[in-house]
Order: sequence, then structure tokens, then C-alpha cells
Amino acid sequence: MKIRRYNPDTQKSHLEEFKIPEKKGMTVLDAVNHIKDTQDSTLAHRWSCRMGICGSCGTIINGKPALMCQTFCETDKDSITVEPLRNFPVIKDLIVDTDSAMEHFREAMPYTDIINRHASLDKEMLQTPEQRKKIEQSSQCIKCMLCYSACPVVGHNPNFIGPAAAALAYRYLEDSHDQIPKERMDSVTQKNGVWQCSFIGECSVVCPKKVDPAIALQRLKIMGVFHATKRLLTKRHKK
Amino acid sequence: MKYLEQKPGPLWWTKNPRTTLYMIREFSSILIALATLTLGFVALLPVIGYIGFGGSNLVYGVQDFAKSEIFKITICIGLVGSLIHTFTWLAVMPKLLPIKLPKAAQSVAYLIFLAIWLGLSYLVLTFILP
Repeated sequence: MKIRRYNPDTQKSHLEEFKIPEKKGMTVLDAVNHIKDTQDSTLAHRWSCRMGICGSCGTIINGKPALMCQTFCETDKDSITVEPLRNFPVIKDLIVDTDSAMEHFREAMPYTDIINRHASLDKEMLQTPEQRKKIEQSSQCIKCMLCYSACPVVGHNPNFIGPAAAALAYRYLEDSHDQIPKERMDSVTQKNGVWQCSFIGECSVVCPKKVDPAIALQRLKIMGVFHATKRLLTKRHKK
Repeated sequence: MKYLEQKPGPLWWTKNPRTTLYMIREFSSILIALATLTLGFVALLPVIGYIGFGGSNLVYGVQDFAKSEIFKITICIGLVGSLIHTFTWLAVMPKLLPIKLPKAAQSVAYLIFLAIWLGLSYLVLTFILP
């Protein structure tokens, strides 16, 4: 296993090779933990649940963004190369700084604002199974940041809202409980919003939860056009 | 302590067949633009000639240019660009329909869009343009 190392004190980056035991069912995360436990305790990496639900262990495995806990070591290749996620500053070894991308989730306004907008909280806000099904796919996002790593637009423009935040915005816009669609549309259709997306589609390819953020972005663009047209006509009418 | 900045290099699109296909799709618009500019230039020349020089000499110049190899190659390049552009964007259309289709149905929808486009192109080229 080859692991990209980065030492923030010396600011030197290199590829270090380790030997791992051949074990059936061993994941890349198991192997990296084994290396840390038995060969090099200075190896830094993030992990938590080991079952593809927390999104902590995202890395580049053999050139592709993937979760370490969901990728098995059994491969036809002679070695496995593990590198930190692309498009993010590397703090140390496999740990990257995702703060800037996480900030974009605020632009999606990921809340329904029921408390402020709903006249009465005595009544239940019911949702039918069909309404729930509409938001099911986009609700699966685990914020693993693999999509941000795969997106070339994020690489060239860190201010781009990004696939996960856009998918989150789409999830709330499609939610029957949503009380603030206009404000959310205004937020995601700004200069660095959904319009920056070129529909490359890599985000949907790498998503471990099949959220399909690429389609969410395109649907947001369509909704954005209708929203802008409505605003223009409403403004003209008010004048 | 300094973080290591990671920025994509100029050849980022060569690392992956899908991103390479994306760049080909985007590049096809440049081919279309090239052909459009050439056609626009050819169309405008007689107008410029008539307004600027009061005569139709430029019409013969335009006719000669339209028969030249450069013009034919430019139009062929534009046609190739249009075809790539059309095929790639039609492939994307089934994913954006209001109803969510399974993968197999998306392929069928793509073929239907392609057939409609070919049919319309045939009608335009055979009955409307002549």
C-alpha cells in the first residue's frame, strides 16, 4: 500500500510504501489502521463508523474518491495507492481541511423554518409517503465530501456552492414542509451558485449513497430560471 | 504549520475518460462557433460590398470562396462539432425529465430523442431548405 504523506512542519510531501497482510474481506480502512497500529503510529487519517454512514474516511483510492471503509483491498493491481481528497488543503497525511466546503451548506439553508413561519404549532405537519419518497434520495447525503473532491469546478473555483450543498438545497426545496423556498432559491442562484456547474457528472459517479447531486444541480437550474422569471414579472407588475 | 494547497493542473481532464468526454463536448461548441463565424462572414460580405462599395463584385468573391477547399473544410468541421454537441446533449436530456426514469428507460428515451432529431433534420433538409 502506497500512502501519500504530508508533514506540515517540514512541508514535504511524499509517497510512502507499506506492506499489508493479505486478508479476505480486508478494507482499505482496516489496512490503514493496521499500518498505524503496527508500522507507523504517526500516520494521520480520519475514520469513525467503519460502515459507510459517517463520511469521515473519504480519500482518493487508486485515483478515485472513495470511502476507505467501503473499499476492499482485494484488487488485480499490485498495490493500492491512498491519497488525501483533492481540491482541499491537506492538514497532514490523509487529513484535509473541509471547512470551506462545509460553509457552503449554509447557502443551502438546510432547515424548513417551521417555527418562525407556521402560524400554529398545534397542528401536525403531516407528510404522505409519496411526498417523503420525493426527498428520500437527496436525504441520503452523509457529507463525505467525495463529490467536492471529484468536481473540477470546485477545484478551479472554491467559492462554487458545490454538489453536496446543492443537493441539500434541492432536498429542502422538494420537502413538503418547506416554508422558505424563495429565500433558498435566492441563496443558491447567486453568482457562485448552481450556474457554475458544467454538468460534468463526476459528483454523481463517486457518491457512495447514490444521491445524484449532478441531477439535483440541473433541476435547481431549471427551478432557478422559473424563479428568476417569476421575480422579474412580479417586479414589473408591482411597478 | 502550513497546509498543502491542492489545485488541479491544466491537464486535469485527461485523468478520466468521462472528463475527457466532457471536454470534447465543450470543445465541440468551439467547432460550431468557427463554422458559424465563417458562414456569417460569407453572408455579410455581399451586404458590406453593396453598402460600402455600391457594387456586387464581392458577390463573385463570396461565390469563389464558397467553392474553395477552406470553406468546405470549415463547414465539415462545424458539422462534426454539431453532431458531437447534439449526441452528447441528447444523451443528457433523459436524466433531466420531470419523471425519474430507470437506466434502461433513459437509454430508450435517448434513442427516441435521437430519432426525433434525425426525423426533423431530414424534413428540414429535404422539404424546407430547398
